[in-house]
Amino acid sequence: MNAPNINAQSPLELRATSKFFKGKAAVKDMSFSAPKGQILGFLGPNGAGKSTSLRIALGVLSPDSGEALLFGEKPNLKNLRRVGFLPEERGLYRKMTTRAIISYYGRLKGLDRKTSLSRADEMLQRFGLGDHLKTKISDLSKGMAQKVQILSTLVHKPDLIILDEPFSGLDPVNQQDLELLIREEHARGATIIFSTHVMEHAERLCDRLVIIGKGQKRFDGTIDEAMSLIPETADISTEGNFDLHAALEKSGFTSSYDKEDETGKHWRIDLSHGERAQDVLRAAINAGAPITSFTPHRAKLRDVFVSLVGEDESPAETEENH
Amino acid sequence: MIRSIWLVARREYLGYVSALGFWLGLILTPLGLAVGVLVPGMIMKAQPARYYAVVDTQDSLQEALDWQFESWQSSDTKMMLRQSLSTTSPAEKRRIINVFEKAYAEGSSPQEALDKADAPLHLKASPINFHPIKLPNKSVEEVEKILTSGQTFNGPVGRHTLFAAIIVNRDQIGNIASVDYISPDIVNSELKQAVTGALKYLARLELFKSVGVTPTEIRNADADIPSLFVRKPGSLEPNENQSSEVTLTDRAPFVAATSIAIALWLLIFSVVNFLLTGTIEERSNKIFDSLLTSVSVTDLLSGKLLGVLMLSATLLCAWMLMATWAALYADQAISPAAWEFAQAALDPALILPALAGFLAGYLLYGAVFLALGAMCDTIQEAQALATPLILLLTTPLFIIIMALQNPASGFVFIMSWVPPLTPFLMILRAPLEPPLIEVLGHLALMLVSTSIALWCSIRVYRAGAVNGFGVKEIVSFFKKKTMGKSKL
Repeated sequence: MNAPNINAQSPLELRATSKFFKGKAAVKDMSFSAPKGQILGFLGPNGAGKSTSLRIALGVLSPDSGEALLFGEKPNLKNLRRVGFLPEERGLYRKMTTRAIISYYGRLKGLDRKTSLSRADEMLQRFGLGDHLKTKISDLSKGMAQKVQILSTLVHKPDLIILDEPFSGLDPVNQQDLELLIREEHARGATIIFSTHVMEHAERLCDRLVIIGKGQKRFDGTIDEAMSLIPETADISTEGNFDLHAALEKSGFTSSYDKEDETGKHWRIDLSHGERAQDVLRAAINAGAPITSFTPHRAKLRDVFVSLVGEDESPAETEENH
Repeated sequence: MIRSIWLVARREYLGYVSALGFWLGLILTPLGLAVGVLVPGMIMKAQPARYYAVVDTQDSLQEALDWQFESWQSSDTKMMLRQSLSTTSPAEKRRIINVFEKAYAEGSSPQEALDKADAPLHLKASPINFHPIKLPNKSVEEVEKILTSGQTFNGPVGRHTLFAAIIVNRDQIGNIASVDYISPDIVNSELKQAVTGALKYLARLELFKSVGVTPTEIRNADADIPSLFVRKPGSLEPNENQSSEVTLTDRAPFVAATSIAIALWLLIFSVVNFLLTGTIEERSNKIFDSLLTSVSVTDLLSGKLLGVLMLSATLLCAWMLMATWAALYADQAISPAAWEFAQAALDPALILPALAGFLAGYLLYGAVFLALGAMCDTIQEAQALATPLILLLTTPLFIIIMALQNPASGFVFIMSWVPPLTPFLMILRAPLEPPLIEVLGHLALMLVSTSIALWCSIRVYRAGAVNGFGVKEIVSFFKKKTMGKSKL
């Protein structure tokens, strides 16, 4: 496990926080920080403690031990004004119109009436809800209502955006729109934390990852650092009776004989940390191997996740795969 | 902080005002009250004229019945006359009533007595709804047949069926041995009471006759009965040679206090329901987390309470405007008594305790209902939980109604120190001009009990909103809290 990345520039920090419900640890000794201006993926299987950690970070829940810091201070209404939070359990006042509710949340975060209304109009127009400015939430589809809630989270242009499972419940098109929105907010300079248990989103969007399981942190680092936790492999097929194992051993690579068929022999090469698939290929060619095929295998975040939190807590399939 | 409270309050207020239920409540509540007030009078006025027959070989019971009905008519008319004179000076009022009583005792009908007393022009003697018809030479069987057949008779007020027959059974010397009252209507008891009164009158008349007193002498003696006028101690005006009678002006504060207490109870329980349903909506729609990263629990609760308080003020203003409009529109129809009542109700000595009581009652019960809403996911769940509570909370209403007759009773005094009842019973005691120590004590009690209710409510609300606690968890939380094992 990596050391806690406590950063003075971090808009959000958890320091050794723990929270127990009915004597059971929901979060245990959790420490991490969100570096300023980066997108941090907060990954973990269902029930791992993601939402509890985020609620502690925002001061909604008090930790039983440890502390949470927002912009270097304990969470308070002043620094919470710089935060946009989309909770996992989301909902809106069903009888309010889309425009009114975005404006309401904007005003609660300190915007004046005029600005909040003009921003609400602008955001609704931009995200395809321009025809629904005066539609009540109860008359919107679930996906549309979720979009409105996301816009309510962002209306005051927060410095720190925390999105708890933002993609759940959205169709693939809306998921893509949300990815775009996250990138735009990132480009604006906002620090973004989003929790998910769908690895593809994290892989595409995040600069850094914090992976948790059973209330404890299992990993904290960049995507590359996460990928490097599982070594790459490469498959090479050769013609005739060429002994690739012996040839590669001279170059320091470990290979294993996999199988033989009418097309030739097939080999699996396990790469150590720092070794790259193209180095193996070069070594094989230099050794005069009659190569018929070469397939490098890079580890996926899913594999990293499974290796860290255990097979029994495997990540969800993406919604596209359902 | 104030801005957050205001934003929450404004949203709550606009949310409720835009709901159909609010407008229905605004219109239907005064409509219901108006119906409640007007219907009994309308029912009385719409009392149908009824025919009855006395089957008797002599006329004495019929004459006694006529006397009984006229006597009641006279009493009702005198009561109307007193009410119509509530704003007249005590001396003038005495004079008019004396003239009326004397004229009636001397043989005038109630209407003639009114005319002689120079009563207000619009005043008419109250009507007699029972009219006798003759059924000569009919046997009991024939009379019963008429009663069941629906046969109609032409009488002083048009064609009607026979309401009742009174069969008089006499002994050999002509004295009344028994009377059978036969009627298909077993509910209305007015005629039965009249017959009983007439029989008593006849018995007394017989007794007086036996000692040589004639009916005329009895009536003359009635004319000499001095009038009864009620006054408060110390209200005698020596220079006027007249005492000032207890008028509606004196009684109005008590009636006004009771009415205000009932109105406040109704208002509080109408609007706290909004708090309950609003909170359930926030919990069931998972709105709390979004809100609690923008406003504190205390601000959220304060905003909700303020929003619904503004709603109450709107309801009150609208109802007062409606009442004013109705009063102006129906100016002639409003009796001076109603103006007396309105003046008493607007007395600062009553309005100030009423405002304090309303605020305390609203905050106390509002806090309870907010906490209740925060523990429930559905209206059904809240209803199940609220039912025993609502039954308990109807206690103040019963005590208010009981206290109407005797606000000075020791029971009311003791109950006024029970915090949930204080806001209402304090208003009831205001017209008694309680000592300052009692007023201050009540205010202090309300302040403390409301603060405790709000303190508990904030914690329950937080536990329900943040942790999703239900009733079981809340109870367990407070148990631990009292044992010092938990923190929230």
